[in-house]
Amino acid sequence: MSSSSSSKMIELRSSDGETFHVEETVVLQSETIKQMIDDDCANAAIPLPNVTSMTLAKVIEYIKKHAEKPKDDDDKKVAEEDLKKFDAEFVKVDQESMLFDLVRAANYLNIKSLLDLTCQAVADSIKDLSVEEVRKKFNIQNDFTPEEEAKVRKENAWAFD
Amino acid sequence: MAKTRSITRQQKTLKTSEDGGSTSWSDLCLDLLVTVMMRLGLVDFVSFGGVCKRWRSIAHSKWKTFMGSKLPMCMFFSPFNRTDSWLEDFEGRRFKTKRRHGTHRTCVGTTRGYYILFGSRTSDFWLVNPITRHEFHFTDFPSHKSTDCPGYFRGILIYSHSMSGWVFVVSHKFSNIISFSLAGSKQSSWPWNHISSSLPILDMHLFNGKIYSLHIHARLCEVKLEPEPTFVPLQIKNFAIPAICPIEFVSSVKNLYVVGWVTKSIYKVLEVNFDTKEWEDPEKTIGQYAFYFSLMCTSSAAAATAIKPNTCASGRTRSKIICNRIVDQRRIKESGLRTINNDVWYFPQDCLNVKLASEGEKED
Repeated sequence: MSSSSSSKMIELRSSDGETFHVEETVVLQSETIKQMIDDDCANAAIPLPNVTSMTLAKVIEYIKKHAEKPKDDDDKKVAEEDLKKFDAEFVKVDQESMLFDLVRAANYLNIKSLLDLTCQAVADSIKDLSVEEVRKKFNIQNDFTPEEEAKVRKENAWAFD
Repeated sequence: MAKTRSITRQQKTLKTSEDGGSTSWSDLCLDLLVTVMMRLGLVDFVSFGGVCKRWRSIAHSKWKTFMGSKLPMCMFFSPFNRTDSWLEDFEGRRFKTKRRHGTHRTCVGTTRGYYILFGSRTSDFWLVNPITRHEFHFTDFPSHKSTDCPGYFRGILIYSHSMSGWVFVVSHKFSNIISFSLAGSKQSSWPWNHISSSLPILDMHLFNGKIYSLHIHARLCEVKLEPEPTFVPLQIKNFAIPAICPIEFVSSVKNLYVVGWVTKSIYKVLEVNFDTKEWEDPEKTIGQYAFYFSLMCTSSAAAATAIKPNTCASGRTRSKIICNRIVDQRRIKESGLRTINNDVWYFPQDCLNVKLASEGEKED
C-alpha cells in the first residue's frame, strides 16, 4: 500500500528522545508538521517536545492507517468500514491517561480527524455518569460552596435508563 | 524494551507537562475542554456543569452555543404517573426525571425550554425548565378564558423591557383573546391583561423576539404588548394554501413559515417574506431544514420548529425526521400507552437560562 517510491522519509523525535521515521505523505496529515516542512524546518529530525514516544507511536499508527488509499470504488467501501472499525478500536485504550495524551498530541500536531475522534471518545466516556462519578473518574476536587452544591444537586436530578 | 520505555515515559511526564496523570484533567486547556464539552449530550452537559467551579463557568459561558448545536429531543410524560417524565434523544438514550407540579396539571406545550403546565382546577400555569430547574408560576388565570382541550393552548415566554420582567403570553386555538401576565405580579389584583382580535386565532409564535398570531382567513398579525397591547395586522399577499387545511406556524432562525396540512402526512409550506409582503414558496431555502412536528399536528401542543441538521447528527435526512411523527406513534402503541397528547419536542436551542441571561441578552 505504502509503496509510493518518491516519498521522502521524515524523522520525528519524541519528548523522551526516541526517533521515528515516517513517510512525508503520511505525516502531512499533521498541519503542524506540514507547516514545519513548508517552512523548510524538516531537514533534521523534527523535535516534538510535547509528545512522548508511546503517544507518538499511537499517533503514527493512526496516521499510517488513515493514509492508506483504496484502489477502486469497491475497495473504497470496504476500506471505509475497515477504517471505522480501526477508529473504534483505536480509542479503546487501557488507561484514561493515554486518551488524554492522544487528545493533547492531536491538538498539538493539529490532526483534525484524530482530535475529533479522541475528543468524542472522552465525551462518550462521560456519558451517563453522575457528577460524583465524573469527579472520581477524572480526579477532580469538588470546590463548590454548600449553596452552589445545592443548586448542582437540583439540576442533576436525572436518572439514566 | 517496552519496559524501559514506560519507565522513561513516567519520568518524563512528571517533568514535562504532567501529561499522563489523570489529575491533569481539570487543568486541560480551555480549548480542548470546550471541544469535549460540545460533544456531550444535553443531560451530560448538565452533569459537566456540576463537576467543579471551572467546568461550571465554562459550561455557562458556552450555554447558547452548546444548546444551539443540539438536536431536539422527545419529551414524554407518563400517563400513569403524572410526576414522571423523560427526555429521549436520537440515539435512543432516555433521561428520566420527576416532573414538579405535575399533579392535577397537564403539559400544554413548551416555550423557551420551559414546559407549560396548566391546572384547570387551580387556574394556574407553572413553567418549568427541566434543564435549569428554574420555574415561573402564573396564578389566577381567569377560568372562562380556558378551554377543555389542553392541546389548544399556545404559550410564549417573553422579556418585556417596559415592564422589566418576564411575561407569559397565552392564547388558545379558535379564541379571539390573548392574555398575558407579568412574572411575580401576584400582589396585583388583576394579574392578567387581555387583548382581543376580531378574527379567531389559529396559532401564536415567537420569531426574532416578536410574537406573531395567525388567524382564520390566513390573517397574520404581530402581537405588541407595549406601549399599548394590540394586534398589528400585516398585509401579506398571495396565500396559496387551500382554506380547508389546518394551518400552523413553523420557524427557523432566519424565516417564519406557515404549514398547511393537506392530510396528516402531506403538507404545504409558505414562507413569510417581510420585505415583499408576500407569501412565498420557500423551495430554495427549505431543503436544508428538518421540520419537527409533534404527534398531533392539528392540535399540536408543541411549538414546531425548523432546524438545520447538524452535521454531527449522523446524517439524518429531512424526510426521516418528519417520519418520526409516525414512527413514534407506532412505538407508543406497541408499548401500550394510550395517550399521545402529552408528547412534545424539546428544543435545546430554545432552552433559556434566565439566571445567566443578562438584561441585554434576554431577547436576542
